Amino acid sequence: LKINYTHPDADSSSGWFFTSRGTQHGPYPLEQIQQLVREGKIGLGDYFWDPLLGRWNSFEQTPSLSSLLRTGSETDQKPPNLFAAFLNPGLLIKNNLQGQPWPLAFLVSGFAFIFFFLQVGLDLHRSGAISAGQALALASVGLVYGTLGVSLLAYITWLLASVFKSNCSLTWALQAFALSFAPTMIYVSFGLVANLFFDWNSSIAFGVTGVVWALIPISNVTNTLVEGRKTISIALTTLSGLILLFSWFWLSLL
Amino acid sequence: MQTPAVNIYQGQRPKEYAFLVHLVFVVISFSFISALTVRLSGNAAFTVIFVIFGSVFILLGILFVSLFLTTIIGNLPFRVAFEATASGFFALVPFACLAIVAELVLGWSAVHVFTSAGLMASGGGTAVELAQRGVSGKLSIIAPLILGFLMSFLWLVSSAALAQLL
Repeated sequence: LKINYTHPDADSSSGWFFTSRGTQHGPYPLEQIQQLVREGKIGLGDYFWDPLLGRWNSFEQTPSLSSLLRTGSETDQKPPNLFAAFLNPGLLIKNNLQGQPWPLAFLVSGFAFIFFFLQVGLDLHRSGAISAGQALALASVGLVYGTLGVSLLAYITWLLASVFKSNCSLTWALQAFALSFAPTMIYVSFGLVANLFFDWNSSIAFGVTGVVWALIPISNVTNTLVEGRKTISIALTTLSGLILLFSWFWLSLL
Repeated sequence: MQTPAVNIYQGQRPKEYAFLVHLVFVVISFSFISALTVRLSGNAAFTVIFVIFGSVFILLGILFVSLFLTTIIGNLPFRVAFEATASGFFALVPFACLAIVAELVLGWSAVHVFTSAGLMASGGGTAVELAQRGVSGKLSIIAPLILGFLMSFLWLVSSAALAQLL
């Protein structure tokens, strides 16, 4: 659902418009809009048309509208949405992680890469290429990669997005990128179980697949960073993926 | 009262035929993925057949997804569904680029991993595009994801079957 916002100063009696499935509805009184918010049909992340400015804006960019939504969401706290967690970390941050310390998100990417690199180490140890101690050392490299490495990836992408006048903060980008590795976390957790209990060489089947799947939420994060400019978002996602690929490649050479 | 004539898009309003540009990129990307699938055979004729097969597969897939969404989501015009799906599948492009780099530059054989993830991402992308066109509800999120997964499965099965035939 999208809201067609008529500026209150322009005509306070005009009410609110929204469109659903390509059809315009309205005008509705503010109370009815609040009801839609309470029913969860309108939420953060929706956009509206400001006829005075003559362009689409997000709710967050208009204080009068965003304060209305905050009131609505405060009365009806949404439960954590698993789809949001795996597909759109930005939505998860907005709906469920407001006010949470952003470094906590790195628990997700940190553990995801600890588990991934540990599996690489275990696979190599099983083939006799490295010792058990070196396998554990690889896990600590995973911690560095999942925290500092992911931070660097987020910073580079955020910096490039800033060229296109991104309104997102660096801390938001760091948090969102770290949470993007939630699918990786799931994959590598299963992989670790298979590795430890069934002696499977799981680093490729589970680890690499899991990291590739992280590109799905990353593409949504870059889309938010550049405010829906699709071509730029796709280019940034490709760049993020290339950074990931080449960093693994260089690590494998070491 | 003055209201915008067209107001079904969020954020940066896409140009009217942007979905066609996206569609062209999607077909080209999937052609590359198809070619990579039989790269190791070294047979030029196989590559041409796979490129054609891949192009037809992705076009029919987008058409099927659009028709299915039109069927299950009430009052959704086909044009809106097709535009959303074509633009949603634009999410495939980074995965195709990465598959090309992984195969040809790094020498990794992981094209199926990138294809599966790319088709699933396309399902997610379609859900996002639908939302941007005013389609709300859990069905409009879940259905494209399931369809993306189905396309991924169908591609694995059909490309393996074609490779066997050749």
